[in-house]
Order: sequence, then C-alpha cells, then structure tokens
Amino acid sequence: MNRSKTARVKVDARPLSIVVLSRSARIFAFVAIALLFWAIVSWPTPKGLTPTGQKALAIFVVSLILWVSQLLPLAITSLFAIVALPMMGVMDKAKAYSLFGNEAVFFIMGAFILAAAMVKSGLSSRVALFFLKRFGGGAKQLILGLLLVPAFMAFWMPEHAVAAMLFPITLEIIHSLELRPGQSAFAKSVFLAAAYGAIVGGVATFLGGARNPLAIAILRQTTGQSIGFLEWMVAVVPTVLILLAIAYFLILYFFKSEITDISRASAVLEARIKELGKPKLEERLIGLIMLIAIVCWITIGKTVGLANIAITAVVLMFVFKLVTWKDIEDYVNWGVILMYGGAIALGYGVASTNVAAWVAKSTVLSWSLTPLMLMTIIVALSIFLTEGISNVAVVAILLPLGISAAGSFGIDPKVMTLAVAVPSGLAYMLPMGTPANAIAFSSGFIKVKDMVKIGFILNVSSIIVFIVIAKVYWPLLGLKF
Amino acid sequence: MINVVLALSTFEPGPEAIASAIGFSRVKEAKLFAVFVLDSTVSAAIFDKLTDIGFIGEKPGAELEAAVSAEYRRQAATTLAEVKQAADAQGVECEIEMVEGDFVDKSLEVVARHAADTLIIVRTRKSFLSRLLTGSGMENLVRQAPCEIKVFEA
Repeated sequence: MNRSKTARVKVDARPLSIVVLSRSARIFAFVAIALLFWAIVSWPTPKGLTPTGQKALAIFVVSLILWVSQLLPLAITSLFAIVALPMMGVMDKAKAYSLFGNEAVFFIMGAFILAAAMVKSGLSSRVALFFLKRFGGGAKQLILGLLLVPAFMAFWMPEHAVAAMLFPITLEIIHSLELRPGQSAFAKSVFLAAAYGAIVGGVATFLGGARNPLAIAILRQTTGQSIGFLEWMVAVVPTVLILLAIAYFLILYFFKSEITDISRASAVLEARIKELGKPKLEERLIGLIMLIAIVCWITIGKTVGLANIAITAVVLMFVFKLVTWKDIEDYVNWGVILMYGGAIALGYGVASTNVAAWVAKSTVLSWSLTPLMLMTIIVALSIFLTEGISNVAVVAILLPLGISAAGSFGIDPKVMTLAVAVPSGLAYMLPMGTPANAIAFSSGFIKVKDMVKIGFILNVSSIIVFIVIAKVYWPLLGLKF
Repeated sequence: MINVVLALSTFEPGPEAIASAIGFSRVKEAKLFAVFVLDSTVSAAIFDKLTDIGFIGEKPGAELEAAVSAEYRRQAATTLAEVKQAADAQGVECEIEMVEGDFVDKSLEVVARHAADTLIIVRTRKSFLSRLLTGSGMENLVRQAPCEIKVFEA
C-alpha cells in the first residue's frame, strides 16, 4: 500500500533554485508583461506618436508577447485586446465590440460550418478517395496524389480540416503496405505529402485558411480597399502550383521510396470507396450547395458580400435538414470567432492611432531599403514567424505595420496584404508550426529533423517563388510594387 | 535468475536497445520483461495545440486523437511481438506487456513488480540547457530506479 503511494510521488531532482524558478516562471512572466505595459504607457510620448497611440502601442506589444509566448490561449489574448482598447481610451467601446460583427468574422464562421457539414456527411472523404484512387499507378504517383488531393481540397475547406480528414486514410495506406516507423522512407513521404499539400493548398483561397479573410478585413479597415475571391485566386494559384511541384520533387529526393508495388494501398482505397456506397442524397445536396456558394463567391462575391453568401449557404443546409445544430457544435471550435474579432480590432486600433506608421517609420523606413528589399523582408519574416506562432497572430502583428510601410514605399497595400497573408500560411519546418504538420508528426513515423531538413528548403524556396511571382506576374494583374 | 526490464515508448522505440537488451539477457541468462509504455502526454500536447491554434472542433479532435491512439497501440503491439520473436529465437525467456500512462511512473512500477536487477531504456538527446529548464523524465527515472540502469542514446 505504502509502496504504491510512494511510487506515485514524482521527485524533481533539479537544483532547488531551478525548480522554484521554473515553477514561478509563469507568474514572473505576467508581472514582467504588466510592468512593460506600464512602462510603455508611462514613458514620455515619443515624437510622432500621440498619447492615445502610446496606449495602443502598449496593448499591441502585450498582445504580441502573449501571442508569441502563448502564455494565454490565442483567443483569450484577442479578448484582452478588445477589452483593453476601449478601457485605455484607444477606441470607443461600441466600435471595439462592433468589430466582432465584422463581415470577415461571419465569413469565417460560415466557412467553418460549411466545412463541418462536408466532413460530417462524409462528402469530403468521398471526394478525397475519388481523386486519390486515380493516383494508384505507383509509389511516386501515390505521393503526387497525396500532395495534390489535399491541396485541391484545401482550396475549398480549412486546411486543418483536410489534414484531419485525410489522416485515417493515410494510416490505412501505411498499414496495407506494412510500413514501420523509423524504417520506412515511403511512410515519411506519405505523411509529409499529405501535410504539405494541405498547407500549400490552404493559401489559394479565402476558404483554406481563415487568416486570408482576416487579412482582407484588416486591409479594408485600414485602407478601405479589398481583394475579391477570384482576384486572390488568380494572384496566388500560380505560386501554389510551383510550390507543390517543388515540394513533390523535394519529398522524392529526400525520402527515396523503398517500395514500388502499391497495389495493396490501391486495394484499400477501392475498399473504402465501396464501403461508402453510393452518395447519399444528403451528400449530393451539401455538395450542390457548396458548389453554388463557390460559384457565387467567385462571380458575385464582391457585390453581394462573401459573408452573406456563406451564411445563406449555411441557412440552406438547415432548411433542407442536412445538418443539425448539434453537428455544428461538435465540429466547429467557437474560439475562432473570439480570435479573429480581437485580431481585427487590434489591427484597426494600431492603424487608426498611427502606431503602425510610427513603428514602420522607426524601423524599416529608417533603413534605406528598396521596395523589393522591404517585400523580401516582410515575406521572410512572415514565413519564419509562422513556424513558431499562429499564422493568425502573424497576420495580426505584421499586416498593420506592413500596410503602413507600404504607403511610404509606394507599394500597393493589396500587394502587402498578400505578402503577409500568403507566406504566413506556409509553415513546413516544425510540428507545431501548423495543425497539418502536428497531425503528420503525431503519426510517429516522422522525426522533427525530417521536417526541419525539407521544411527549411521549402521555406527558402517559398520566399524566392513568392517574390519572383510578385515581381514578374502580379504587374500583369495590376498589382505593382 | 536475474530479471531485466526493457522499457520502450512511442517516440523512443530504439531498435538498438531491443537488440542489446536481448543480447544482455542472453549473456546474463536473465529473464527479459519488455514493457511498452503508451505515453499519452506527447499526443495530448499535440492535440491541445490543435485546439488552440488550429481551432479544431471537439468531435474531429476526438476522432483524430482516437486514430492516433489506435496507431500507437498498433505500433506498440508490433514492436513487442518483434521483441518476443527475437528473444525466443535467441533462447531468452521473455514476457511482453503494454501499459498506458506516464513513462517514468509506469517503468518504475514494472521494475518494482518484477524486482528487476537491470532496467534498459532509450533516451533522446537533449541539450544541457533544455534538460535543466524543462527537466527530463529520463533523468528522474535514472535517479529513482532502484536497480542498475542501461541508457541508450537515440
């Protein structure tokens, strides 16, 4: 009895000072953040900044630290921002809370609900299997399929939902081929292809990653300009296609397949398709509503409003009893609403009080850069920051500053919006960089060093491809820098 | 008879440790107890991040976690079966076991239950600073184990 009790006691054998320090670190961190906040607010107001702007700067710095350190959940940091802005007199409280009702927030909510309906009905799995089985000719073809299918699906639903939906399918492929963790290069390429496909595809439209509509909302709040659904796709899809090609060749190069016969994997895909049977009426209707919504976003999205189309599609799903509220509650994480509402409010706060312009002037504008150098710095910062922190936080932190700097360099704010939003979705290196990577890593087949090796090359490739496309192709679309 | 415990876990299965544990048990004419600890702390940390950063809903999150847990069980079962097969082939008496929980706690529990003389574990290399700041379960295990310990660096 005593023995079993003793066995449960955990002895921390580190020096006492280290133990005390590590266990009090959280409290010290919050005290330090509070002191920093007080210090910024109490300093003599710097030239070019108003006292109100100084308070907005303090809120911005604290939010930045909390988002980066993740001492608080991301959504709670957003709530802090939305409360602190009116409390410090930066923004009227009615204005601050009204930003939760921003069109982008409702578009994101609608997109998440539509994705939930597709996953719940099994439509997303059916589509994935339908396309995947067409890539069953060999090991290399299967890897190509595992890269292209999630990429294409992440055009139309959130990338993390695609990665989560595809995970059991990839596991079955691995099992059918009797691959072992730590021994199979092909297994690594399977999981990495599925993750990278979802990540790269997720930057192509507003549906793949909620950071994209968030970026548009910040652009609209700060400049009054916007980017349409089709305009975004036309600008970004070429980058996506090139990055998918690079990812494919890098995966094949780094993880040379030890198998050639994948007939058992093809049989598994066939079996799963048979298991699903014929598409149910519910799936067909959800697919039809989704298709109509996509066509509307592309054709009349700018005039009717993206959120209006998304919410109308959601209402139609309920009219036809295709989903229940319980389904939606189970599949949608409502923290997303808090996160995005707060991020938009903070972006508006730092732009309207001239903080963004002041920070830009104190940093990049004093470095005598060319527009190309500024763009490269912003793109590289977005890509490497997103490896460590949430891509939403990257957009909320960098975009207001980037748009402000863009004005001084004669860069179109739309270009700057794309330069922050698109790279911030491209995290390849670390398991915690993005949910798709975390899901792949959780399989137990991939080591961190595998991801870092190929991910770093993909990061650098992404910066180069993005800048070349922006310099050469975007001017044809009227997007210049 | 000498008892040897080989403790394996999801992210540190260590094929070298398996071969050495069997070889060591054969030389010492010991009985080998291979235990695979399904350590849920790693996957739990990943899914916390998915909820916080990815805003994955409760149901897909739970489904994904179930898929991952099932995969870890499958990998553990395969590894243990291979240990058993290899031990049998070398004439080493071997018992296998799969347990769920904290790696250190469960390893110590198995060591105590079998009154083990030697514990063999695999440790992933960590920097000195990382070990100092975050602590290391393996360090604690090394300090607390009431028997000889052989550590393999992965």
